[in-house]
Amino acid sequence: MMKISVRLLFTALLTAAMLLVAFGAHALDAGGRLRAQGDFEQDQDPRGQFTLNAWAKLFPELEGDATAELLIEGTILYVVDDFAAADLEYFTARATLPGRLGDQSVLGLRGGRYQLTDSGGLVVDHRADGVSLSLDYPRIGLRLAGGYTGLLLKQNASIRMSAEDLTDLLDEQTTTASPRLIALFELSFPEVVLRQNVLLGGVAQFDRQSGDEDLIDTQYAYLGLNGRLFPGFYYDTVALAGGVQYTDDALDIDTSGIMLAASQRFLIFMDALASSVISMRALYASADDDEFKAFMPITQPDLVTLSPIVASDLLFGSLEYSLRPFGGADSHVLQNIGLTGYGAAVFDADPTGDDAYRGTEAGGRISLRPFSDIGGSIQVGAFVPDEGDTTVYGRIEFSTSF
Amino acid sequence: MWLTLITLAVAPLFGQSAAQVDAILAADPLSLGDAAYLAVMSSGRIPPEASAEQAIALLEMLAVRAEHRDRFSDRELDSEATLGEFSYMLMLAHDISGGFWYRRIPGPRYGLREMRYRRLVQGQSWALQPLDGERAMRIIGRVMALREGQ
Repeated sequence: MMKISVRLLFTALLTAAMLLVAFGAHALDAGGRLRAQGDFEQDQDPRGQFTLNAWAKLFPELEGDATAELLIEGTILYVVDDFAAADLEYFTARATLPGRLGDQSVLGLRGGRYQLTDSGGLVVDHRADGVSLSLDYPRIGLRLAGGYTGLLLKQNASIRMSAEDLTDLLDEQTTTASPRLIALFELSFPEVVLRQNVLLGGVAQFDRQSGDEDLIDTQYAYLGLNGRLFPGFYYDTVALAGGVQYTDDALDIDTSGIMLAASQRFLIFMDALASSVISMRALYASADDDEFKAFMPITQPDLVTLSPIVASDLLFGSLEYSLRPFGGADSHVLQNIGLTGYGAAVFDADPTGDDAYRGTEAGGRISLRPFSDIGGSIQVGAFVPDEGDTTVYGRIEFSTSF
Repeated sequence: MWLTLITLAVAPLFGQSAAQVDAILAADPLSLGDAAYLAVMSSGRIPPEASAEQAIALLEMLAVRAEHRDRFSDRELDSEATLGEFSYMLMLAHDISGGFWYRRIPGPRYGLREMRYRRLVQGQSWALQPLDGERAMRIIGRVMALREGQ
């Protein structure tokens, strides 16, 4: 596996070198990032990982206001006492072409290995090999994107939808990530009225596993509203309905159903009060019951908690408060100390059911950014379950870019 | 129209005539001498009637702790300035503090990184990118806004 990854990486670097010669060395930027992360969980062995990224960007010259860029980024991932892997993180060609389809149009093209993300934030945020097209006008934006995840390295991927995905993760013969074909369509209407934005989107995901193991295909349609309600007060609402189809030829299973999800977020910025930020979030993800199927995103949405919470059969509410208590200090180091406190309550999707309340996580984070290119944070959280013992989690992160 | 607006906005800043500022704005590419003059003049460290040679000399003095102290003097004043060099000049002249790597390896590369981080340089950028007068003026406008905000 390591050999294949290194070969991929080497091919990318060789391609970069050839393009460098073609475009000239002057239109080039390059750099790297080092990131270290330690995760701790009560009564478990700590887990440490180091990620070293090296990237290069080439800038071909285009006519007029048009810009283009080729990004090549390699990663070496080392998980202590577990594995080391080299991966081609990104290989993305991007072009931005203003005025090609009307005076106020901006046409964007991307291709290669890139980050495929839905704007609603509930379905997918993952690298994929494919293409993306966007066309933006002042009042409307269109985005079409597609990608395949089966060529990614499995250790550096996070798509876990089926039992087969988990089996492959443990299988030493399998080197690549869950093979999913993803297609995305979005229409956005920026600042329709009073700085309110509307988003309409859809994602279809096709399981490309071969053989007669379990297959899960999913489709998602979502409507989003976001914008500013008052000065410093922002919101982001997403409502999603989707379809899911399970098939397993070996077990003669063929079933389908509808799944639901919704997310509501408020952000309040209070610059005068030590740069305070209050973030409130509610998340609903349907359960497997008589009416609906369990919500199953392609990748899990980001939540503030350290305890592992899966967006399925879930009602989740969190409140987070961040501030920079020494923002007015003379010291640059003190100015950039951030403190965060948070609490998150976790329920089953139907909060009226028996034992629906699962527990609450409360915690805090200290973040430091003494320089623009060095930062770190320490987060500690305790999950207090409805029944059973409290579990304490911790995370230490450090990163530098050079 | 855009050039006129920039000219009106920055001419008083340098105590220059609109014609002189127009000449710098129209420069494409901007010369190393003009870049040094703009960077140092906008910081108020030299009077408007000073020369590009004086601006370069001051930059070298300010860079005395840096490893690249001879970076500018070994170049012709009418050679092309790069975006990285201009960023480094502005950081020296305006005493903009840099990141960890800039402090250890001061120069155009990490100078530009810091200017990008602070959003003083926007859009597609790399250290060896040629620079024109109009873009240089926009960057100076943002640097001045940063200073006024501090």
